[in-house]
Amino acid sequence: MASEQLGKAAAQQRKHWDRKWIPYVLLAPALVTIFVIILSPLATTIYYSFSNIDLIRDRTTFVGIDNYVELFGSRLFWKAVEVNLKFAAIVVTVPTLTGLFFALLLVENFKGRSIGRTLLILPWALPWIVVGLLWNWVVNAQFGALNGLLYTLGLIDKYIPFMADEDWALVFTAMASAWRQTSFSAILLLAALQTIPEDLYDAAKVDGAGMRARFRFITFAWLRPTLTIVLLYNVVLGFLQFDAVWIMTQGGPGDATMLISVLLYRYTFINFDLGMGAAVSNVLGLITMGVGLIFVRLIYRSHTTYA
Amino acid sequence: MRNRRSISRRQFLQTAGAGLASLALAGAPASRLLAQGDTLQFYGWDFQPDTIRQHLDNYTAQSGTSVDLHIIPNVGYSTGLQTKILGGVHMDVYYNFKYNSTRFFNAGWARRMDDLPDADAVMGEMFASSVPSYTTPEGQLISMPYFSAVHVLHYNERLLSASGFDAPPETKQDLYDQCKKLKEDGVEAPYLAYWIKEFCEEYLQVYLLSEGVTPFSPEGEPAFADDSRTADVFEWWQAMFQDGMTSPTQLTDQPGEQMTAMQNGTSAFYVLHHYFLKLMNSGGGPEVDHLRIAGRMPGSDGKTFQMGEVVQMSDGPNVDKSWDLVKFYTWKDANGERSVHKSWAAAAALGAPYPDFYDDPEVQANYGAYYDFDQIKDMFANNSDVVQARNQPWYSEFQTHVGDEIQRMLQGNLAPADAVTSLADKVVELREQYS
Repeated sequence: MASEQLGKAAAQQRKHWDRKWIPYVLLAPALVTIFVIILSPLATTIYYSFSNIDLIRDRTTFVGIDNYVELFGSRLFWKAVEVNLKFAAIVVTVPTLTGLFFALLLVENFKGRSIGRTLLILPWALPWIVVGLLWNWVVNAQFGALNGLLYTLGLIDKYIPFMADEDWALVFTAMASAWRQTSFSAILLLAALQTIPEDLYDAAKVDGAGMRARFRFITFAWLRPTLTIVLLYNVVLGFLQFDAVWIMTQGGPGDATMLISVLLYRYTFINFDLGMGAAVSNVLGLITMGVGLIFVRLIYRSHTTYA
Repeated sequence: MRNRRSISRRQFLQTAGAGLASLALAGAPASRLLAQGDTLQFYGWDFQPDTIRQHLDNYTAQSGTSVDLHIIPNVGYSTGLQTKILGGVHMDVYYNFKYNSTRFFNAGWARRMDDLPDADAVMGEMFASSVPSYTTPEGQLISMPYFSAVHVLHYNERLLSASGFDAPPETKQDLYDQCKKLKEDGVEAPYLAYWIKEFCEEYLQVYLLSEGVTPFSPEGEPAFADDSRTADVFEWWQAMFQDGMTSPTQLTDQPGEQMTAMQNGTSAFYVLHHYFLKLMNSGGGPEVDHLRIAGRMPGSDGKTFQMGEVVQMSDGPNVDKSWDLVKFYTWKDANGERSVHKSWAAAAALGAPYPDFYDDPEVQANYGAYYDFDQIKDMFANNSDVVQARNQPWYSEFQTHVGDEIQRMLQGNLAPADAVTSLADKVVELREQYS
């Protein structure tokens, strides 16, 4: 009898232990993964940004805010911030608008729609390095497709060396990024458009809503969550783009396309100054997060206005 | 009906945990074995990996020592190599960029080789001008030649002749004047310079040496700053760019675009490594038959810059075998043949810092009839220099600074004299920082 009671108590205790700890055990793999993949590198990067790291002697010295002081005192950094803001403005605006245009076009029923949808995916399937090489040829001053087109149309009488001009160089590196990103934006928006129930439009028509009103209060309102994601992706790309720009200009001519990410690459992988690289990385992360949050706030603030 | 055995949540977690633990335990000794085995570990970048594999297979056939090949992409190679070494990966023999060779040696990742058998013979066979490229200022051999090249002035003989010039330019002023005439005669962008940021520093060496300027002291001090001819070179560069003697896109153009301009005759001069003549000829084009290499760089001294990348080896239990492989790869095989260098000559006209290499009929056939081998040999032997400061640990940081400042200067945003000061200040700052 006593042993039966003891057994019952033990089983209850085990059940209690299970209730208390099993959730943690089940969460553990996810938490460990998040810690290893996100939190630990983040903490390391923050720590490195306050350190001077000597890779050769395998020695790390704490230097306080010295790296940030050097960074904020550098002419190149402020130039990179200025260039990056202009670059991001193009990379956020162009793919979002053109992506929306293509999505609205390809959601309609017309002959050749499936070919159009296939073509839409193609740029997205290209690696960034290939995009950079491709656009280098497009804007080439001697035999570039763009010059050829403008010349054939009679719009120019002499080929233009686009990449020699600081403003054009920035525009075309941004356009190369925007071109591929348009594809991605359009795919997301197209997927969202396909989920809008036709009944909503029918009901709106019955209520006398015109085309503009239907777009504003049904299409745009329905797309708002997807649009937020698209904008966020484009903001992230606008500040973190590196590959295509590096291939096309390496930050030149002069400092015309010196993005913060190019500066980060140079500090980290050419100079092997991991402390400065980490500082740039943290500042870049904060800028990206800040701009991203502004967009989210703006979209959701306008949401309450419409609701 | 099948008898299904149920498994409790606890059993599942226990089994999974045990499985993961055994996997982790099994992984650790495997990586240690990799370092301790008899098989040599060879690391290289991704230029013709199949050819590298072929070389290593040939070595195995000759020596009986097997070699594992690990390829790291060229872009990010230094980073990849250092990350692996710091992570405890053992590599016996590896490609390295020359500017990293002293850094790796100082860190203990590369071994000196001058105390190993045949080292004296290796150095003795090299062009005397090449030896400092592979040694420390104290004369320790710390790397061996993967390939060598000299910067040369390529020119289009037909275009020059059509504009009334029967010889390539001898001085900077000659080059400017010839470009001006060629431009008047319709050659769009007579002079091509590989002025992308990453490459400006190599050009700096070429033009300083051509004017007889000593770029750096043996200790790595910026000797160029004390020579007024440095500012002259910069002023000339600026004039060439701003007066339209070059294509305005030179600050971002890649060799592919530049070679096309030479192959099509829209440009008449191109300064880059000697093997570009083979690349241009292989690519074809209406003007390739008229492309030549000038015997000297335009400048008061006429010298040029000798460059190349290297192979290094680490210390450890495999030193003898590693050295044997290094010799095979960068000097001679067991039959006394420079088979690896010959193969690179066939692939891309890459050079080697050994005089006899250019006398070899097989090398000459592989290079192409358009090369004058006496001329190339003379350039290596008498008309070129290496810059030992490029092996210093601070050098890569200086290189990025040169790219920024030279491009600013070419665009007219920095005076040539200020550019000289800025470069010199950077060297002083970096030397102090790294001391």
